[in-house]
Amino acid sequence: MRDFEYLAPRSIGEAVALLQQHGAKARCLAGGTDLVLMMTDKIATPAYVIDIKHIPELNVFEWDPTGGLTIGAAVPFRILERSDVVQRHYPGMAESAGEVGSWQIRNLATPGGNLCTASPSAEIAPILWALDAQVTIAGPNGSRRIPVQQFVTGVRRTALEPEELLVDIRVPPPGERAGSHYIKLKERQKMDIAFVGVAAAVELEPGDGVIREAKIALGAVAPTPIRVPKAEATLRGQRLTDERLEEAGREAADAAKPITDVRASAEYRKEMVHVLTKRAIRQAVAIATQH
Amino acid sequence: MRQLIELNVNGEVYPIDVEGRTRLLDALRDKCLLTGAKEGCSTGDCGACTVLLDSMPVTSCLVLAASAVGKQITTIEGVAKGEALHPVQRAFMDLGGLQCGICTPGMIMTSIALLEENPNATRDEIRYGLQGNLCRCTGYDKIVDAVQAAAHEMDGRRRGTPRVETGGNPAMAGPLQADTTGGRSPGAR
Repeated sequence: MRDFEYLAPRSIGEAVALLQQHGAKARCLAGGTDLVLMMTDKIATPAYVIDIKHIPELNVFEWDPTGGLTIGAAVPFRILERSDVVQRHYPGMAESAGEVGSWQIRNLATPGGNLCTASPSAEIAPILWALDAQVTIAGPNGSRRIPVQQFVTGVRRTALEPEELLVDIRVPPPGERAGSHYIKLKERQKMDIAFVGVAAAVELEPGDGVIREAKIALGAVAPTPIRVPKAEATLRGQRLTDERLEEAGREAADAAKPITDVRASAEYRKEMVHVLTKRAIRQAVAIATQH
Repeated sequence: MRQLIELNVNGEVYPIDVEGRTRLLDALRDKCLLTGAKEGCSTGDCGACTVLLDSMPVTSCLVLAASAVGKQITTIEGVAKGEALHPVQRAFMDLGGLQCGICTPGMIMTSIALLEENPNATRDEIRYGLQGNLCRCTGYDKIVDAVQAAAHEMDGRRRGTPRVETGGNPAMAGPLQADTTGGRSPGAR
């Protein structure tokens, strides 16, 4: 690892000032499970490492029934995985948080860091895409908030400017009769990267089981996580039937643009998107029905 | 860039000088001379370098030493009370929960945190908890046996009636009983 200067700002303002001063020579450090590894392999060789874990706003983890959930950029996966609020209101998020690495990794790694690394297979991405999460970004001119779908712009590329900092992830409150589910296809139970990740979030009309809103997102099958508006439209305003489900599954598979690599072939991934989308929707609807 | 930091390890303060890039694992081994945590993969996959940061297991190969300032760090060297081994250590010895031993410090640190959080962990829960600790000798069954035996033993201690179920090794009963009577009143939970 190449040496660097370790900096630990105590406020957002201080962190932004450091980023302005050092620009592209600096990297922000959250859990370190990506960055320390990249520095060990000399893939990343920053002259300054800015540890953001001492900034109060980045450690916020708050739930409010009208505002939803705020996940500070320094909050580790383990907190989400174990949170009663997350398990109750965003079951798919608890599932995806629990899929990351090992216990040791989840005590360090953060959803914020996962987004900033912007790997196509980022574990937390599909569910955040399906839940219409937003991110708060701080910069020299104050802060801005954008949909998470606009945050990741390509493979390992984000909308962050060099002098900007990810502050938190905001997840809107779920509707009355809502359910979500995440499925990760992998070879091993743990310590593996997703071949395919599928997240579904649905909301039902009161009483009769008609789907008011459906959101489907896929990970690891395109340069960035993607939503599948076509499949969502197929389900919206409809009851869940085998035919609708089959159609939505096929539309999701059509939207997927996977690559063939050492883990799986593109064809296999597409077929698995088809199968797992159906499963994720069915499970999300089952959860919503219980409310 | 060199800097002087203080690490709190096993209840002691270690003033050490490190570089920005110094990993916690290297600081512990090379500066604090606590070589219990082992370097295996250096990529956070194998768990041989597991230590507790504020009671939570982490892979110390992925933590910068400077990031650990202000935290309570516990390594394998800090889990025995004097001569009295921790029940998890004792159970690994008694039940042969180790072969070459390289993974053992990490296994024990994760197991201690696991039983702290879930004292009645089932075999499946133990396996789940230890997914980030690899044993390349593949001696997993006996490791799970040992963690389960330690759970029984610790449960017995909490109830004030130590149950020794680890094969009747006479070395086992002594320090544990002595520690129980010295620590908590019998019958207390």
